[in-house]
Amino acid sequence: MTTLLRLVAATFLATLTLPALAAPAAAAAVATPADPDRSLKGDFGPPMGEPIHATLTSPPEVPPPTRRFYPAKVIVELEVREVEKEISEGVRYTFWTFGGTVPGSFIRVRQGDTVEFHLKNHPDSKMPHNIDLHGVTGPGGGAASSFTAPGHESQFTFKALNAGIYVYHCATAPVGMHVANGMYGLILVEPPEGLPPVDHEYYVMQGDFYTVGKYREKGTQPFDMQRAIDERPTYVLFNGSEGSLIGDKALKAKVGESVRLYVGNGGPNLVSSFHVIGAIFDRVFFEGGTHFQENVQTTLIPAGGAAMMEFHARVPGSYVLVDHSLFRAFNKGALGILKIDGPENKAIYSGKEVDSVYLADKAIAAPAVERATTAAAKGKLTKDEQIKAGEKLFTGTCSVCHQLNGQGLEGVFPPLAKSDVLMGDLKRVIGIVLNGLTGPVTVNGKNFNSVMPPMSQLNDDEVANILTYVRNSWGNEDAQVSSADVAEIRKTTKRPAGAAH
Amino acid sequence: MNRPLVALCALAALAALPLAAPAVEPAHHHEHAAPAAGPLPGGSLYQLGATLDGSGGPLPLASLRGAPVVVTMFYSSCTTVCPMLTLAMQRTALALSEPERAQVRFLMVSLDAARDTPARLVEFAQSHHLAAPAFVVAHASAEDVRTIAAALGIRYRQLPDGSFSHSSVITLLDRDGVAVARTQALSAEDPAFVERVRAQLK
Amino acid sequence: MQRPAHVLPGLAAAALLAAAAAAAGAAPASLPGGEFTPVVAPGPDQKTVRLAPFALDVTPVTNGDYLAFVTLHPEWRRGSVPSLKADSQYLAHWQGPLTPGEGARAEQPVTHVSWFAARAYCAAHAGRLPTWYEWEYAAAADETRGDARADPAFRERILAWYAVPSGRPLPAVGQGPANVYGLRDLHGLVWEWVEDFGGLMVSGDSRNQGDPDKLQFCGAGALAAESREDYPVLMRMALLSSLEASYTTANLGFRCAYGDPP
Repeated sequence: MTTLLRLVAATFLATLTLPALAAPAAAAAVATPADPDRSLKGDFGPPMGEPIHATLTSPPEVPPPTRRFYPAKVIVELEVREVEKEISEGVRYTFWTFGGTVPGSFIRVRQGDTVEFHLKNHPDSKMPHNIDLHGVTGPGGGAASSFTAPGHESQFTFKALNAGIYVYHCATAPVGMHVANGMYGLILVEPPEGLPPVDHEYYVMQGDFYTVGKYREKGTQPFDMQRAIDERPTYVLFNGSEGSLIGDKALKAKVGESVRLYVGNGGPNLVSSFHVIGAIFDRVFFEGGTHFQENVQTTLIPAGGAAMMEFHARVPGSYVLVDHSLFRAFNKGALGILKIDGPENKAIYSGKEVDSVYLADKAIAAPAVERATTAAAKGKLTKDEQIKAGEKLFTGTCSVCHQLNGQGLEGVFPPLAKSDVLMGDLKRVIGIVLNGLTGPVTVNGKNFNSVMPPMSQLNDDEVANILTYVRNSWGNEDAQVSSADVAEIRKTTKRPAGAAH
Repeated sequence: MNRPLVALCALAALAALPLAAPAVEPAHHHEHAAPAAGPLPGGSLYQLGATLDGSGGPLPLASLRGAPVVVTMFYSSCTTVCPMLTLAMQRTALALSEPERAQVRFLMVSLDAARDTPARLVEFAQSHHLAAPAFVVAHASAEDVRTIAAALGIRYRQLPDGSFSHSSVITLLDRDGVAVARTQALSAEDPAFVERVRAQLK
Repeated sequence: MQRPAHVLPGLAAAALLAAAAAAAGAAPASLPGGEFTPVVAPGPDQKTVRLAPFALDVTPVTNGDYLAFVTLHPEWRRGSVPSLKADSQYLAHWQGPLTPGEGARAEQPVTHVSWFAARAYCAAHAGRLPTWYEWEYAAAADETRGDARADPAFRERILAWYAVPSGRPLPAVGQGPANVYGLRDLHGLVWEWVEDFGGLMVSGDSRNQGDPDKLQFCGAGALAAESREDYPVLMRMALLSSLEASYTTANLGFRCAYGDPP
């Protein structure tokens, strides 16, 4: 790449001529020759009525529908802030944000609206920033017109000619770094007739992050330019933080309700194979466009692209949002939960009905239930201290999958509470923590088949504390686990340290 | 290097300035004060102590106070954007009626302090029919060029071959020297800008 | 080279300036200049620039230095500067026009200063702002090498500054390691004004890099970066090109150069 740096500015002339030039391309894209001038038809004339100040929302919330039947002048005020926040439990990262959140504030306008855009760069910002909205027809999507020094504000105006869900992002050099730091979001341009009403709308955006420290390495982590260039992310996340859609923050719906997700992918590098475990999308407006596909399992969302998907909540439970490139989901954080409450519907999904022994032609050795006696030398901590320390670590490292109450997620992550595996062979359990566990496993008679990453980034004491905690919680009772026990297993493990990473 | 055709430069001339600076100053500047009276507003270009050198000899920049001024920066040996800039200045002048034009100054300051001597600029003004007193085609010291360009938000750099790379923008100053409008529309009429000039005369 | 003395009205003034010089630390450092390859080539067919010897302040100008300056030059006190020359945030972090106060300790670099103000300060000290090439040349050095730019570790160290969120108090000047010329804090403390910031024509939309449409740059050569990996320099150019001469920001300071302007 020859890097040419040059001064360019948006011109009104170019803006005015673009729709005409773009028309043939639009016709080809939607393959409806009868309606070749979609973007021209998005111009409903000058704005009418009083100017409207757009309501912006932080993820995962979405602003209410415009419920408007005329083109208006809509004023959008978006503030850029550089903020340090948690990217993962105990891991801090300096994000560059539109509106203080990753992804940035959700913007909602109607096709034909004239949008007066104010980009404010907070006085505490170190960097200049700008914005390229993919929903803008014009050079750079507004980037040159919105280039703003710290402590200043830029204004530009565009007409939202095309309906759809569009990514916006910062385009200041180095663009990849600005995006990798979280500078992206979504703008929805409603079609003139609006979107069919649904019970819930949510806003989710995937992004890849590059830190100097490895996955979940504690402390403040700087951006790693080399990893970003090599496209080797440390984290792949929904809404900018591990746990942003987990626990109390899970997306919620009730049985019988309809849900619309606006899902974008900021990148900067990875393409998302977006999937909700246990749900089938009724309709996916792929690539954020006008047409939809029905009955979709997994939809591809390119970096710098978005999609809109609708489905109905039928069966209660926790539905896991993942990037189905699974190591991103389970080893880099691309996980979220949609929690559906309401009465069971056994006619659609029964839960497990039968679990009997299947021997085929082999007898299976009885599982070793011999409890390891950990009479080994006691650590420096008392059992209570270990439990306390372990609880904290568990909350950060383990609870995302196994849940705070140790119940796991049915069919996805095995329970720890009264778990026969956990309370079984300690050496095996330590081995699972250090080396991970991939593939089928039976816990309390139920089958699971998923991926637990190796947790070898934890030191011997930390593993001992976590295990002491989980083996003495939620009805479990056992002796302390010592770091010597862990050290012994680690010695025999073939996996290199840091394999979780 | 290749010089694009002037006709094609119409496009290029448009593409030339960061739009960070507001196109229009706050409303209270719109109504002109009594000519050359009262304290100078803080945003006035005449806060600079710059001196121009035009056909009539040295001229303090601030002496232009009292008339609305349409100002741009250029250099006489420029064969690409600057002819368009000159044309746009002329076109703006011609869009006004004669009595209107008589009240406005059209200021063109050269970026090329070294080569655009006052004498050379007089020649340039004559050959391009940029007649005084309406047109002021002026030399300024390198130091004053830098501060005037900075105050007008004009970016420029001299290239090794002696030519300049610069942003092309025309700014309207009110009678007190405060920028009230800018245009980058060099190839086409900019009626809105002309109207802004006219509004200064009311 | 000594910081040039200045003719001052009265002994008190002289004492103030001396105090300021002391606060700023050592005398300016001398740089030999010579042939330098900037990250962005000066012209289509030219990759290097020739720099004359010059001197540069060892550290950025501090609040203490700047207080002495505004004490002597009332026209540069907050509230006295016309908006053409400094925006409304000029010295906004100072308690009063002559009292920096808790938020702006004497040894911290002065920020919230405009290009006009920075130039006036340097002129009052018989200096000037460095040019971009002078600054870039000075900042290419690390503790042992005159040009450390090709070293990824050097770049990483500079980039780490961007991960430190702003909005917390700036450290005092002079705490960074001295580079081979004895200069400190060129990286990792504040952005710094340069005389010809207006010549850094970096697009507000950086993705136009490599755009073959030369028409966008009729005025002559587009600027071509020699090293696309030199993010620290590119980011600094992006910041400078986002500024207007009256702008002030919380992370933007300056230091002065001495010697004939190029």
